[in-house]
Amino acid sequence: MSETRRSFLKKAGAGVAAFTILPRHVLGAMGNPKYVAPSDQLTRGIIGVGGIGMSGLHFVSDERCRLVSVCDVDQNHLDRAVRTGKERFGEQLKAYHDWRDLVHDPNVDIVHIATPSHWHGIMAVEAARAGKDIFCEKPMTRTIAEGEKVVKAVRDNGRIFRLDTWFRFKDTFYGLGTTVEPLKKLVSSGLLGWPLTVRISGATGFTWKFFWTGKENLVPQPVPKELDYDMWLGPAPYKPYHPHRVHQTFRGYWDYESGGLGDMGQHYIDPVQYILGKDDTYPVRVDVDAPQQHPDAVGTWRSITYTYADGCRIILEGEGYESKGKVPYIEGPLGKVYKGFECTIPNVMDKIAELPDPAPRNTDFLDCVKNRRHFALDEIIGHHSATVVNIGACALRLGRSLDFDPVTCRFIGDDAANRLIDQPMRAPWASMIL
Amino acid sequence: MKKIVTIFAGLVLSAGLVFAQQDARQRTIDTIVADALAQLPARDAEARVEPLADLAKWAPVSVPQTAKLLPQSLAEYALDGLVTYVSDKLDRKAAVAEGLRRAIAEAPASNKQFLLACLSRIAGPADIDCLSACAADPALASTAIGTLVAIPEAEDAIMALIGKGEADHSLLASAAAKCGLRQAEPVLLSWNAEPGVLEALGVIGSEASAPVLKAQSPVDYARLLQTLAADGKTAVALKGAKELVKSENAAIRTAATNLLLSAQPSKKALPLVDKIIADPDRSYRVACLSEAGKVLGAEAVASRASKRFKKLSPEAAGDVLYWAGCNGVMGETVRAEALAGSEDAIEAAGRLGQTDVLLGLAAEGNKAAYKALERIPGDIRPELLKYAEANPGNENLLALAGSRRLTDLAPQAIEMVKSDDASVKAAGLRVLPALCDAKVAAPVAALLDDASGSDVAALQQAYSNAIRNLDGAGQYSEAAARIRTAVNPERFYPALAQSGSADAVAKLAANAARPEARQALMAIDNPSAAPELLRLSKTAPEKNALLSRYVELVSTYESDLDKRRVDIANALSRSDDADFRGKALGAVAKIPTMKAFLLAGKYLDSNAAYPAAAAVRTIAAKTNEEIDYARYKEYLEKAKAIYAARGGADDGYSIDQINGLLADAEPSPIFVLPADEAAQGFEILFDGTNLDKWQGDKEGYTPVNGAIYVSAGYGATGNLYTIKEYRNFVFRFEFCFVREGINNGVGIRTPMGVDAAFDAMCECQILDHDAPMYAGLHDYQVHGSAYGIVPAKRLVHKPLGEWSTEEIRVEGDRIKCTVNGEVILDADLRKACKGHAVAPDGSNHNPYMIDGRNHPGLFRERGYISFCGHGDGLKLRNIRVLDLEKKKKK
Repeated sequence: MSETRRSFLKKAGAGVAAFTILPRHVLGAMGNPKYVAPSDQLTRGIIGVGGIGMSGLHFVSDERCRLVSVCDVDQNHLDRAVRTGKERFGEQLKAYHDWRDLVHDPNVDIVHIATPSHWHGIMAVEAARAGKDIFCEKPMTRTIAEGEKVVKAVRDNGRIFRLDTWFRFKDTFYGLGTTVEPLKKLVSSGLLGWPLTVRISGATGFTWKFFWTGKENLVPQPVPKELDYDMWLGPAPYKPYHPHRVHQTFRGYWDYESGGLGDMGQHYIDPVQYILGKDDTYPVRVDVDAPQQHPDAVGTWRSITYTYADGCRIILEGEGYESKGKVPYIEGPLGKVYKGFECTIPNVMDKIAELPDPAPRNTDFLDCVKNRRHFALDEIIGHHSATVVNIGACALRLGRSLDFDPVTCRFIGDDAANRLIDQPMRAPWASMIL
Repeated sequence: MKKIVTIFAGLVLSAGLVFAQQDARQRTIDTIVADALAQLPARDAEARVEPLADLAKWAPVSVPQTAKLLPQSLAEYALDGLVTYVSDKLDRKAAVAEGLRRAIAEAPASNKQFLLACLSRIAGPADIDCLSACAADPALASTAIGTLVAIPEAEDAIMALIGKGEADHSLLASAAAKCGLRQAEPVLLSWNAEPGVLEALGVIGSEASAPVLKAQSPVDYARLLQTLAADGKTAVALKGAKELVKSENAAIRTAATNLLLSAQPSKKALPLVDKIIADPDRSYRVACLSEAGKVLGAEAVASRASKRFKKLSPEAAGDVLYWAGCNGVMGETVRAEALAGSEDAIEAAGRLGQTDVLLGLAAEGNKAAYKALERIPGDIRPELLKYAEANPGNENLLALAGSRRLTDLAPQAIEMVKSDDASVKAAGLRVLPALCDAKVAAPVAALLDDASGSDVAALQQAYSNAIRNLDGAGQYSEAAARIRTAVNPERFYPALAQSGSADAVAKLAANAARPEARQALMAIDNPSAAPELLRLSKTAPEKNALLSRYVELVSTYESDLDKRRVDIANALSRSDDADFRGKALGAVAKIPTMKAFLLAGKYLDSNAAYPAAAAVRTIAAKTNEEIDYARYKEYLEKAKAIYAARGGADDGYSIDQINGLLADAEPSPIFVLPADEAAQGFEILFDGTNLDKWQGDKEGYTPVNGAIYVSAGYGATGNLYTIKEYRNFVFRFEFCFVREGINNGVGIRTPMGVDAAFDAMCECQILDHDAPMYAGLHDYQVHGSAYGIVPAKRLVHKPLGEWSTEEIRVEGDRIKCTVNGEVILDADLRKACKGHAVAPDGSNHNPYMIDGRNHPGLFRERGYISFCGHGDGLKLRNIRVLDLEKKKKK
């Protein structure tokens, strides 16, 4: 068992007790309000320093949270990250090739998972078992069973988890021209009536990024020497290397994700689960209209429709198959909301202001880690919206409608669909997520 | 038919699995497979039924037959589709599985994984032997063993594999764990040094595994204790957990405590709460308190925690209060602590909906209470009203009232604004705007007109808010009435703008000399403001702001995409400001047309390169129009370089998208002269790539993928001319109508900038004369006519989208026009009008001309060859000319 950095600090502190009781302002950076004592500073390691891990949003280091280590199976990525860390914030980042070494590094408090999604579940479970808090990129997991394991591991080990999408609590929600909060209030108020239909479509301001499609019949290529392809694949079935399978374009293959639906689905659907008040349940049915899918390469689709037990629906419209004319984002029996919060209910903003607010949420992840509070988009909520995406992916993969039991979280009367819920994994990874 | 099927079935069962027969449609198995593959991939669920049902019917032979075609992707579609298709059809599933087993046996190693993955999705008890055999092959082991796990009847087979120990041990261990194979424990223990085995033992082990796990992996030991507890071995589990709670690792302590909470009767578990909330480790404390609440019930935990509460450290007390707030318990403690000023308690009071406590605190100026009330999940209006009335002039309460639109309190804020006390007045100005509605429009308007400079902005907002819920006309007349009597009319301009009415635009435009009016014009949401903004941008100091707003309005309200593009291009030509260009290019990006693409592309080298790149990429992805490959490639490559230089995560996405777009595009064909024309001396005027040999309207005539796409409008400026002039020549080209009703023409011996029909020798008509819109056409107007001079034979055009060839031969006064090999005009124009190009009497009526008009250019000796634009939708290609004069000289 490895010691955590905190317990180490505690022990070391015994010998230098005088040091720890000095008031903070004496410790250094006198008068600098930004100064954070080392014991208050969190540390973070990123697994996967490709596009997302290196982005300006995530490849950062500051007083509140220092970036201390990085991991990648592509030596070029790793070298670039170490170089950039030195240039950008003067940090000598510890570089790992094997993510397990980063997860068990006692100097890391927060494990930031920025790999392709077929790794997310295994890494999150192992990080939770290692006593780390977790910052996980969307989509949360590639299968429903993996998500269930993450939820259990985080709970068992008392960890703080954040799934990295944010529209349910921050930022203008794509074409809606508004944050989600007023929509939530409007919907909860019942002013639109019930049940509601939400349309996520180019017509309402959302794009499904259909360029995330895979290619069929790839001709095997030699693996570049900087890439540990076997480790890149990890739990995924072995298939001969082709550059289109990895790095920026991996989403187009069922083995790793599910195309534009996997990429954007949780971004778009997670806020809808919140708006509709469905964070504790799932749809009971999914219908799909799509061309037959290739077993390896993810293709496009025309529409995916989710139906909840109370009749609420989420309709995803694929690119090129958007409804024509003026299309509402949310439609209920009593009213409609369009792009830019245009609403058929007169003086809607005033009416919303009069309504009670939704419950407050914790939206500062570092605060959550420090104060041990559940993040506004924690593992449970994340698993719920990831499951909605995965239900859709299963229906798309099979090309047929599926009925889902929101209690057992299994498909009803469809064995083939249920086998997509928990898929075989390669050794030794299969036994790391039990 | 029945007989044939019987024979077939017999063959399958007995005779070496050769499909020597034909089906009911006399098809061999090769044909059945080929027929099915030809219909795949299916466009939807319905379309896949027929081909897949066919394959399914003959599955034991059709599957191996199809598998031979691997790794072709059609075979992959077929086999994967077949598996999906039969997966919910019990009667067909077994036959497909049988076919797959056979195919796996026959297939080369490189195809086995694919076939096994297919089988894994429908495998049942009959497939257990096949899967067990595959388990020993390292390349197939994970799929094979993973599939066995999903078959309930496969437990014995998995145990047998574990007994043999030949397959990967970590896979076998995970299979044992997933299937709950307790009997595997002894073997797994013997593998304890191997990866993945301890994890499995944590799930299925017994006491026998305890020493190993305890020594080697405490986290798996904690898991084992859960397993033991679930097995009813509570005493062992609890003993172990009590030891683990002493661990230094907070995660393991948490796991152990969670077990102590759940595995004991609540009476025994409840006292743990005392220790949990007093524990110095925060992550442990918070996680276990939350777990205790879930396991033992929040009320029970709360009553326990309340008793110990006073003894807790401030940090621990805060954690308990937060937990209480989230779980709706400990109301009394929260209330008392909140009143004592604890911020954690105040936050919890918000979650508990203790509005009265918070309002009292907020009225006293408590910031945390105010914050909690701002986000309170309950209706605070009745109580807020009560508190505000009891505490008149309280800024916190009035601010809350504003955010809840409690407009009845507006008079309080108005009184504050009138106060002589500067701080009261300032507070009044802060809270007033949100409280206003139409009831207070008059007093607020009066305050606004009287206000001193620094107060104006807040009062303008207040007045605008006051009239906001009137309709546009109501807002306009209310604001206009104030303006008529006001001392400072310009202060009401923002309200005027808010009305969004066309009357407001007119009124503001009339006062545009004032900066306030220009600001208001920029705020108004009405398309009629657009021309005013454009006009003002020429002189007003806010040029870029005016142009930006102009572009916004055009982008929102101009639904004709081409007009919108022209308007934005016009605005773009008026300023080189980078921010403005960025905004305008953002609007261009929303126009999915070829011309918008070309417009955006012009800015790729400018100070707005990044938004230009975004526009180029967006349009390329969205447009249905053809864009010339050379331009397409050039602009997208440039855009890619711009994204690469920026280098953010989303830029990576954009680069991928551009790569995809470029991969799908094809270069334009380049026209080469046929050998005979080359020998005769023809010269190519357009080879598909550029307009280097042309002059004139190069906007209306653009090279697009090997053709000139004509979108030019009617008139002297919509024409394209050769660079050289010609006298006698043979002019050959191909044309294609993209839409109905195309009208264009070839100007013969024309000067530049005139109407070729009259001022050139003639215009040889290009016209979709069969379109219904031309029902009343004169015969001298049909395709090929020397317009107005000599009618051509009326030909029947090819369907839209198909190409026709045309040759125009001009020698002396003769013109001959041949379309698709048929001569439709062959005339001497001088003879046709008996030498009278113009009326002998000098009038406008020329009796010698068939159209009765003067054609003063008819006898011109030489001139350009031109295309005369009359609207959008014509394509031209392979244009070449033979200069007969040159030939003569030779």
